[in-house]
Amino acid sequence: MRGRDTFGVARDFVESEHGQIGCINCHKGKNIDDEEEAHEGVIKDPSDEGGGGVCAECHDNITSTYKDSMHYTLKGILDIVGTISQPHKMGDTLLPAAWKLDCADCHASCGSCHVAWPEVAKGGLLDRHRFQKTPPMEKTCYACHGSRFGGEYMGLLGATADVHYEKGQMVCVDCHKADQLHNTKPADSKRYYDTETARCEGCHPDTKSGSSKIAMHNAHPEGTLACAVCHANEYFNCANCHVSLDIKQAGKIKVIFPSDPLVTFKIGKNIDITPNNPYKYNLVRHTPMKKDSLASLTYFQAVLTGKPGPKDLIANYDALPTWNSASVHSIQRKTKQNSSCNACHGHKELFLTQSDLVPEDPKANQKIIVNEIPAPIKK
Amino acid sequence: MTIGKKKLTLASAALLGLACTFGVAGTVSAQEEAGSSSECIKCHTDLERMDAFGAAAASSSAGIAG
Repeated sequence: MRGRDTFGVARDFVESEHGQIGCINCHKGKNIDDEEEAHEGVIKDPSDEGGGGVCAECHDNITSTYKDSMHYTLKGILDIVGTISQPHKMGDTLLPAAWKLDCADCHASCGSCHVAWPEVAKGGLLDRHRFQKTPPMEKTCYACHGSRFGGEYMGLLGATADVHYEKGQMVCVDCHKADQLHNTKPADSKRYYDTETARCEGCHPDTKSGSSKIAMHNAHPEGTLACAVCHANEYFNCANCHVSLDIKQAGKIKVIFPSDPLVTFKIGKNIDITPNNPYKYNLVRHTPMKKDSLASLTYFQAVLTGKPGPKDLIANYDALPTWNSASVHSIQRKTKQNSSCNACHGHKELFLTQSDLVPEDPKANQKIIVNEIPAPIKK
Repeated sequence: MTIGKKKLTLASAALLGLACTFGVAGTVSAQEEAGSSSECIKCHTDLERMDAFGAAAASSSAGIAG
């Protein structure tokens, strides 16, 4: 990437409303010719601190809620790490360092959607510092959600693209509205517990079971199946992911992605039942975790700090499943499994069952598997 | 006497005008000094210079990321 794409500022930005505030009023530093001295004390992202930084001065109606939103707090990931590492205290492990060096790259400040590429993409400014009222999906959302939602939505992963993208040319914010992204309700909640999240029924009210013109919708009582169970195609899963420290660069965390990507389709039990996710069955996706995923942190804690960390770093691994409810974004009206009743009923391979699990899996996966496969419908 | 008063009035007005002009200008100048980003803008809108800075930063790994 050229330097201009990382550091270059458009002349018309300087004349814009945000540009007229002046560089050093947000970024600090000094207005002098000497390059080195000018950059002393520069704040790269002045929008980050406290969920809004300098943006809060004019946009406090947004930043006051954004500080507790899941894109800012990464509550979902934080809770998982906190749960599986119990009873250990985070401070006694390398987890906070690993969090800072890797997980937190997906933490989003105002600027990492509206001005620059997210930290994880390490790509500089989106458009010469011009503020983007609607963040460009391909650069911002995709940077963090590309390995699953974004990739499958645009047809880069899995079996098909999503019809909303393919035919509707819709972008993320057409469903996931700005006020939902800026304001997680209730504050500090996780994805499926957010009461203001996007619902298919919002745009498709005529699909509701019991009052639909489509027989298959009425055949499944309300709250039984998530829409994606019938309308999504095969999707990408992460498996056997390892997190390791790169020994050549002390302290640098490197995520090693799975060597065998898993593209599959599995219906499982939904254990995150909430008003906005009320379904008994949902599609489930394997998450990038296995028992020894963080084992290297234990080893490197001893090497780097001279003080060995806990041997069983993820002592509570059994508490959470590695197959989890998924909001698969490869939606099509017609799919293989909805072509007829018996395209799904009686097809064990479509369901997550005991035979899909391996002995090393956490015990919590038992709560996800489907024990009784729906029998074929007799004509 | 009348002429003397007029002169005094003119002199006072002139002094007041000067005081106002330089007083305000001084304040504006100080504000520009404090809030100006002219040097930052001059450099960061020079895209060729930014390319050169980017290349140097990449080779030394010591750049200030955007």
